[in-house]
Amino acid sequence: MENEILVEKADFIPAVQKMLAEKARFGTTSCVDLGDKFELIYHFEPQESPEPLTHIRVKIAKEETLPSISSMYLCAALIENEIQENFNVQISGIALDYQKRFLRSKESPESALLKPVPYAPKPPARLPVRCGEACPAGIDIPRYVRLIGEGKFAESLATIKQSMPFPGILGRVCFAPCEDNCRQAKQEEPIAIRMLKRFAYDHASYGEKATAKQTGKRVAIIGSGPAGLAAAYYLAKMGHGVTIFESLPQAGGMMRVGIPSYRLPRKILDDEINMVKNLGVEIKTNTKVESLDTLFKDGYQAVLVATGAHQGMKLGVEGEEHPKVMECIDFLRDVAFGKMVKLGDRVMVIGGGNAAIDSARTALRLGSKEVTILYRRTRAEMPADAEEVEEAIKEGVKIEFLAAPKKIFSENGAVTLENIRMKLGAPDASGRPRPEPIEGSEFKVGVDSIIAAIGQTPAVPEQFNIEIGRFGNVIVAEGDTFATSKEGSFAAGDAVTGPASVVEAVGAAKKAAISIDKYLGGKGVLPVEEIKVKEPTSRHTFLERWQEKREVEVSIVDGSVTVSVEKKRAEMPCLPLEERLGKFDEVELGLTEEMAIAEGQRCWRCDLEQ
Amino acid sequence: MARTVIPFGPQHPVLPEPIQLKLELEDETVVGVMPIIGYIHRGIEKAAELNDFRQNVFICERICGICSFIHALTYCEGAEAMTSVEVPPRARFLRVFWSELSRTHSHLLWLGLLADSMGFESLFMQIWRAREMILDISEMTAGHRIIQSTCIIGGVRRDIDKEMAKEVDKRLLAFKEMLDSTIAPVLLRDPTIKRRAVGKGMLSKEQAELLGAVGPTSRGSGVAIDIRQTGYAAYKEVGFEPVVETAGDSYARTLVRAREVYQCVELMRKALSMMPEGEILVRVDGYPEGEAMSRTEQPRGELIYYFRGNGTNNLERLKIRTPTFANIPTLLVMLPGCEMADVPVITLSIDPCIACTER
Amino acid sequence: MSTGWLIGSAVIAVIVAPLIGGLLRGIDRKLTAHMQGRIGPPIMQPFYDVIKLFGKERCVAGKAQLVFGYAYLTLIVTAVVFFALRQDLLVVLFILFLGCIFLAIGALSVKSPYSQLGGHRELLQFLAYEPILLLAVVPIALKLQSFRIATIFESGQPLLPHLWLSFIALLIVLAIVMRKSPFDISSSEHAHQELVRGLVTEYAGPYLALIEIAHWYEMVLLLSILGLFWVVGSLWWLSIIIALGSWFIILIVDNISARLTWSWMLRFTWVAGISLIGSNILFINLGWM
Repeated sequence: MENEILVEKADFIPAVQKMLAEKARFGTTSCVDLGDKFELIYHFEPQESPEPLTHIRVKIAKEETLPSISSMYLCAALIENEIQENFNVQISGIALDYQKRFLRSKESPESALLKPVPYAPKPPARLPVRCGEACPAGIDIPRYVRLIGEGKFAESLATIKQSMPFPGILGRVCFAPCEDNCRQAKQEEPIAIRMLKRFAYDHASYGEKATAKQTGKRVAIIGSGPAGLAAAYYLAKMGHGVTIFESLPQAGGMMRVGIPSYRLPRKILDDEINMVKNLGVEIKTNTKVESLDTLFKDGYQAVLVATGAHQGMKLGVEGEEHPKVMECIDFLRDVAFGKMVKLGDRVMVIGGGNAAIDSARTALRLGSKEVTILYRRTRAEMPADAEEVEEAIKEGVKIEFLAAPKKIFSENGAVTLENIRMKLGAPDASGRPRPEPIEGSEFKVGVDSIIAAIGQTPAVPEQFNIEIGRFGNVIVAEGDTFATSKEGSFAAGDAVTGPASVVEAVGAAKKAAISIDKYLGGKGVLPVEEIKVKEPTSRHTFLERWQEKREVEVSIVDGSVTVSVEKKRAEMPCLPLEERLGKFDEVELGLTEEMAIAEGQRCWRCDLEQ
Repeated sequence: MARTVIPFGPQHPVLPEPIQLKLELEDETVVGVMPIIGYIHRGIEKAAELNDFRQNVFICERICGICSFIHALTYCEGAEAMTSVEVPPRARFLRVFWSELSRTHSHLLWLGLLADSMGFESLFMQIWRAREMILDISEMTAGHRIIQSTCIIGGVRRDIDKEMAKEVDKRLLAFKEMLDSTIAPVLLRDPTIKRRAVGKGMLSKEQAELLGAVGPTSRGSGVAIDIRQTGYAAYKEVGFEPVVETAGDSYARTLVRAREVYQCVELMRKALSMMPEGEILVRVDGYPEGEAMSRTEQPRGELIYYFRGNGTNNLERLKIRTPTFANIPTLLVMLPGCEMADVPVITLSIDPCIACTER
Repeated sequence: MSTGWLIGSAVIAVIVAPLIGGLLRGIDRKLTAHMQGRIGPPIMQPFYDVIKLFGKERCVAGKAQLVFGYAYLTLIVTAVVFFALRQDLLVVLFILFLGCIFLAIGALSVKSPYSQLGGHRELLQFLAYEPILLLAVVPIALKLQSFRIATIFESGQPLLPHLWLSFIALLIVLAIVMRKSPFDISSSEHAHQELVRGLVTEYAGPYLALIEIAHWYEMVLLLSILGLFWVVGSLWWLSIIIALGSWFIILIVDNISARLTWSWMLRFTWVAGISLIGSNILFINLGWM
């Protein structure tokens, strides 16, 4: 600019003194942040010529202090205060120093006369959200995600515990219907709700507090799977004496025998089971219940049948009884209980569900070199979790799509599988395209063992004397009450629905527990611990976060470091591939604290805003 | 009576905008004052960096509701200097017209508020009734009563044709008539107003210069600072002489504004009659580059904009110094020693526009 | 006049006085609005305001303030009753003063600086108008040899021709009591004042409504005292005209002046009031009136 005087910091005061001697009028000061320096331009209007202005330009490093000119020009005090606050420029000796409280963004400490009126802001009414509605256990998902975003992990865990007892287990193995329904998925990527649940469990502790008075009633639960344990948890909390009967040597049901330990470490499972035991629940392992009537005779007022679905389905092909063909459920159970299973190098897994993927990945860990999955449709139709499939392929599992077994026989010492190619036809009852065999496309594969993983059904003993549905071998239970055909006995979990997920079993068990409590004369109210935590008081969260987001992209922390945090879905840190094979160490390592908080803040908070 | 501290504001019925004056009183005499601002900081300077430099006109217009046109004008002058645009003469005259229209309604608003702060309700009502006439002219010519939004980079958006100019002239004369018959006599003669304003809030010429007072505050103390003298827009052609009073008290500042209202009417009529035919808007190519300053006279005083551009669509820095920002320090010498009852009158006499100040 | 009739009129006064006061406030607002070229609120607006205030949350800054507020109302009502019973005018005035002092103490009992300053100013204001009001009664006594209101009624001749100087002094008092410009110093009728509402800043809801009603009583009492200047003979209705006429004069003054300061008010009321009443007393003694 014209009439500009560029001065060094040392010459600054003399230059201003010269202006004062010339009786120039002070206009204002402009401050520009140059990244590593501040540029301050002092504008003066000389007395003789009003136009143009004279400018004194001075550049100082960020940590340098500039002397104030307010001793000469008192009117400069206000603008110096403003620059001091807005830019963090250090200015010394301001005549009227507001000490960075120029802007009233903070509470003014000296305003003792104006006392705030005690007024409790009401939290805004919350809206129904898709993630929460999708959750079979009915967890208050937006709340716990938000609490993690605020860094309140214990409160977050307590929020989960209000509606679901096993965050440690479900934080690892839940197939997360919430994430499929996350609204954010449409625009960006869904919030990693399941990982956050696991994070809350790993980083916070929760003491079981809310327990009702003992009622003196006794309930027997058959099966210690997710449904049985969850029901036991809730019934114990409601004050009933609970005994669980488990035919296997260890409790956990499908969580122990169906889910391999690289997905669900046994320590976590044991901790969760111990948590239930600590509530006073007795678990009798290696005890097979023969008849419900004996239980009633033993003094139990109600019985919950939660036997799960442990019976593998038959392939229905020729040569199925071959000794090298095994049921996936038997295979996984043997592995889980540490029995030696010899598979050989080449393993063929038949099926496309989670059980098939688990079997394949387990086989890899047992030392098999070549593991192939045979599935009759394409990847899009696979019922298994997409993430799991991804991991399996990463680890080296091959998947043969559009192929089905036709015949199994021995050839040259090895077991041979004759397969047939398929093509997709018209949609069937489940909505998926029906696979149709292509005539003459048979091919043979030689393998060392075959694992059949095409599904399981419940196997309910006939002695129980309860009504069994015509399809799928499941127990018939009333929709709301979970009561079976036998007075005082209830059923929940896979035994009712057929093979489903852990979270669905937990959700059903919760409802069944309420129903049993009502049957036993209770009110059916779950004891819930109140969480004391500050709730948002307005719906303006979107605006706030929008600003936050912008700030994060450009903000400068500690002087010069530019931090640019991309608001993308957190990636779960995983065990490197080479460390996975041959061991059963947990693959997913859990989010770090920063990742979890960032992920929690990413949530759109659909419960608070549209 | 012991010393009392009165929090005068930020919410107080006689203050139209949130500024807090912490008044230290001894009986009813003010012995100390601390102005506290910062209640409505909106970060407009930052917003101007984030938006397209053409859109900034409308952001700057919203810095102040009362003198919005002049903010837009100042911004446009600076932006035009940076993009080397020559504004057509007709547009410059129209800019003078709307600037003075803004000034008129701002001064009338202030005179009304002053009367209200003195408890002179009927005068307040009369002055605001006169202001309605000005707002009607604004609506007629610009389409809006307060925020005219007619100024854009390269010229103005609306023209005033001959017929409308005639109507405006007629209305301005009627307005002047109303001033002559009802408002001016009261302001000049009423003994109670004089009793409340004469000798209250003294600001000597030296103090005004030292504290950097601008606008009517300084002109009331005999300092003839008026940026319109530099002849921006078409003030050179229209001709301008600043209004100056020398008493330096609240009454002098009131008189400066009252006389300026008359002056504004004259300037508007002149601008409309001298306006040449021609274009009102030119195309603006290129982006702002380098640095520029732009200064105008707002109803409250000198308005300074500092621009820095880097040849892109966004400005690198926009610094705005509003007149009230320069006038607040004068309260530090005007208030101590006065009576509590005079605080509203003295505070208002600088015409504080806090929304401007904080931006 | 029979005792029964007197008691009856006292009961009527207690019931009717606030109604008249509220109505006058309504008309006041309407007239003021018309003088300022506005339409103004409906005439019943003061009643709506008070009814609304009664419906609000009960909330006080301090218990003492509440007690003093009630004391103010009770004493003003007592003064009205004594007036209706045609008792001693001095008693009526002292009860009125006591009530007003309670109002000021009520304001001083709260910590808010606005209320404090308002109470302080109210006391100063009180100092300004109390001597005038008291002294204005003296010429009446001089003329009639009695302070009893009943005597005024029985005297048979109007006072105004002899006491018009005191009457003018009382008009100043009326303006102060009605809190009108240029005397709206301790508490303005609207809140656009440096002390917000000064004296009554810290009263809210139903308690503010009580203060408002007491204020109506006070105004009606003052107007009645002004009416005493012509209560006799066949032209008794002139007393009402006189009272309303003085009230209207106050309204006009309110609309043509700005608010002034308490120091000016003290000087003005003492100089003008005392000289007016002093001359009046002098003239009576000299036998000119």
